[in-house]
Amino acid sequence: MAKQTQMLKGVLEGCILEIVSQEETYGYAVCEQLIQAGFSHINEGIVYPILIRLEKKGWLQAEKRPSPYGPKRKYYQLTEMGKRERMEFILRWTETSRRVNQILERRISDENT
Amino acid sequence: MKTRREKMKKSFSLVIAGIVVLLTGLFLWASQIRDQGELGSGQGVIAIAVLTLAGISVFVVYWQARSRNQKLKNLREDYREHLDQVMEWVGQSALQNSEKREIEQELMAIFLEAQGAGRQPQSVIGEDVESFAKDLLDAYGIHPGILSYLLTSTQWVLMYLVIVQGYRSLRHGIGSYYAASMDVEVLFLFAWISFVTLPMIQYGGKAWVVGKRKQGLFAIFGFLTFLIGVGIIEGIHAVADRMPWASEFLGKQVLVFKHPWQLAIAIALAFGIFWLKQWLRKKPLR
Repeated sequence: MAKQTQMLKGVLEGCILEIVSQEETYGYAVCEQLIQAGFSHINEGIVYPILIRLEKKGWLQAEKRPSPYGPKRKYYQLTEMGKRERMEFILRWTETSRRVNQILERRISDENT
Repeated sequence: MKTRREKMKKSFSLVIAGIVVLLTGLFLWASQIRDQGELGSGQGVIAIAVLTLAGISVFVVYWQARSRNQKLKNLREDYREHLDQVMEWVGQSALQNSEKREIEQELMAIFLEAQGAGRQPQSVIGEDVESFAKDLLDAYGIHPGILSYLLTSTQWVLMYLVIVQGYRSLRHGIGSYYAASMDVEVLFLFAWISFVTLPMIQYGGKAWVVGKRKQGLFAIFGFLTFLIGVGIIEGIHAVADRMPWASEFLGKQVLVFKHPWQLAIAIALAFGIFWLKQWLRKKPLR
């Protein structure tokens, strides 16, 4: 689990950029979306520091708005830099996953023959 | 309800205030004996000021705890404990107060939402609170290490020097701030407290709040190191008759700030260290 989380940390930044690009959203909702997408072991403790890091890097900007629970929530949206970073992530991920899949497919076909 | 952090803060404030009252009493008693029943006007003012400050500090700690309980009343006990554990790490970090408040507000919002969904706090930030707190501080560019420790301790030493010279000029009725010298042994003790005692108490306090009892013992060791520091000075006093270096050490007086510009440099340096720490923590994000 820990190894998987470590491996995912870089990928999660990209996933969060993608989720925020679709609509302005807040930390808890980002986490919910990741869990729904299958990252079942992800929790707010992993997502919240990433959101802060992305905000500090200038890829996200946040605005505080009232929430039904009392304290204000931070709603995030992509900055111009964030939009560029999201595009770069998509390209990097597509390329990386294509290479990894190639290797895995070759291995599977070798094992089958 | 009382969390471990609240209990620790209240106990520390009472213990420290108790020590201050005791030391002030001893100081007044010793002064009366030494000066044959007469107290200097400066000594009386200092004693009253110190006792008032100790009383105010205890009041502030209790008042803050009360208003914090009011603010967090909607949080369940287990969530409150987790929030306090994280905030102990955040509170002792080099983050600005506005950032600390922001983190607390954000975590409260997240916790209330998770609590409303019937979840346990462990499912929100994981089992290891320390690891989450470190991740959080890392995201803000805070990387506690030897440099940060040295800078903070140096800031404390500078602060003490500025205050203690003022205290000594008042205590001895010296007209000018810039004429009040300090004993070398006092300087040694302040350096010892800044570089050894306080960091150990802080480290132990943080560990104890997150439930790491073994590391939590460092808080007690911290208090012990203070006694060790005093013991070293007393030891030097004991051997001063037989060892020339000891009597030379005890006899030395240092006038740290002879001129206003020296004081200005010390204050500027303390602020400079503050800005350096801020710059260092933003550096990795550039």
